[in-house]
Amino acid sequence: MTTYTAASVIDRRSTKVMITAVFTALALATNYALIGIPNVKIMDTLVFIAALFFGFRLGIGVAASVWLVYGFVNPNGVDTFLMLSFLMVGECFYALAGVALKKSFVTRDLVKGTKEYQRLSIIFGLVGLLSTFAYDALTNFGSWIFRTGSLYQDFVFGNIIGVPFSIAHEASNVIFFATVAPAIILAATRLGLRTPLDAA
Amino acid sequence: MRPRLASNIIGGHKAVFAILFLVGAGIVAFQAGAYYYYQKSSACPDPCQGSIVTVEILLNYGNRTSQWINKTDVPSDWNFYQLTTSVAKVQATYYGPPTSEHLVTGINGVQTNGQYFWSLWAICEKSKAWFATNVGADAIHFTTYHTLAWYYQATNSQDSSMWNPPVDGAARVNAC
Repeated sequence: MTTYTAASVIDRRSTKVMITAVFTALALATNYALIGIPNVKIMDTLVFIAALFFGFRLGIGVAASVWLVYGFVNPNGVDTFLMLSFLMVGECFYALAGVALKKSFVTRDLVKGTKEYQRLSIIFGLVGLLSTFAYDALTNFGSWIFRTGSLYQDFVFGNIIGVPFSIAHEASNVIFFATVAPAIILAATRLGLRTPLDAA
Repeated sequence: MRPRLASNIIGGHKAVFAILFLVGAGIVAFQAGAYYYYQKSSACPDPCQGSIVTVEILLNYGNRTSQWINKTDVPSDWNFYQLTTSVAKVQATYYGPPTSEHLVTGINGVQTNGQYFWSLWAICEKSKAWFATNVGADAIHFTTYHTLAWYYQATNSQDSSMWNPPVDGAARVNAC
C-alpha cells in the first residue's frame, strides 16, 4: 500500500486538474445562481483564493475554464472571441492578486498564527477593490474597442457608460473579498488543509 | 482607544497600508467622478422641461410584423422607457441604483425567449443611420434622438455590431 504525504498528493497533476474542476464548478454554480443580479459574482473571489492556495497557474486555469463555459453558455447572450479574451485576461488579475498576496507579509503573518482578522479583512477588501477596478477598466474598454475610431475614446466611453456596473461589481467584490476570502482561508487553515502557510 | 485599535490593525506595515488606501481612495474618486459624469450625460439635457416634441417609434416584432407610431405630444423631459410604456404594454425588470434602469423583457405580450430579445435602436442624426444604443431606454432623451425602435430579434451574440437593423436594408452604424 502506497501512502502519500499531503504535499505530494496536492502537487500531483491529477490533483491540480481536480482542484481546478472543483473551483470552476463552484464559480459556475454561484454565477448561474446570481444571474439575476448584474455584476455581483463570487467567481472572482474563488479565482483569487485558488491562486492564493494553489498558485498562479491553477488560478489562471480556473479563470480561463470558468469563462470558457460562462462566456458561451449564458442566458444574457454569448460573448465574441474578442470580448472573451478580454474577460479571461481580466479574470487573471484576481489570480495575480492572489499570488501577490501569497508572497506578502499577510501570508507571513498567517504563518505566525496572528489573529488580527480586521487587518486581514481590510487588506483583502482593498486588494479586491484594486483587482476589480483593473478588471472593470480592461473589460469596459474591451466592450467598446474599435467602435469610436480611437482607442483612447473607446477606453473613456467604455468606462463612463459602464460605470454603474463597475460600481456594483467593485462594491460587491470588496464585501466578498473582505468576508468570504478570509473566512475560507481561516477555515482551511483550521481544517489542516495545505495553505499558504506551507508554501511560505 | 481608536488610534490604538488602528495601530494594532495596521501593525508594522504602514507604507503598504498607506499605498493600498491611497490607491483605493483614488479608485473611489475616479469611479465617483465617472458616475457623476454618467448621470449628468444621461440626464435630460437643457433645454428640457416645458416643451413638447415629436417622436417616431418603430415596434418590429420580428415576424415581418411591425408598427410605426408617430407621437406628436411627448413631453421633452420624458425618457424612452416612459414613452414606450405610454404607447405599449411593457413588461420590465427594474434594477435599482447604481444602474437604475429597466430591462425590457416584453412588449405587447411578446416576451424575451431564449435567444430572442428586444433590442433598442435609434437613428443617428449625424449619419442618418440606425445604431443599437449603448444605454438603456431610461437614459435616452428626445433632445438627441427623435426616431427610435424596439426590434425583437434572435441573436447569439452580445456584440451589437452583429445585430440586424430594425428596418430591412436600412443603413446602420456601430456608434453614433
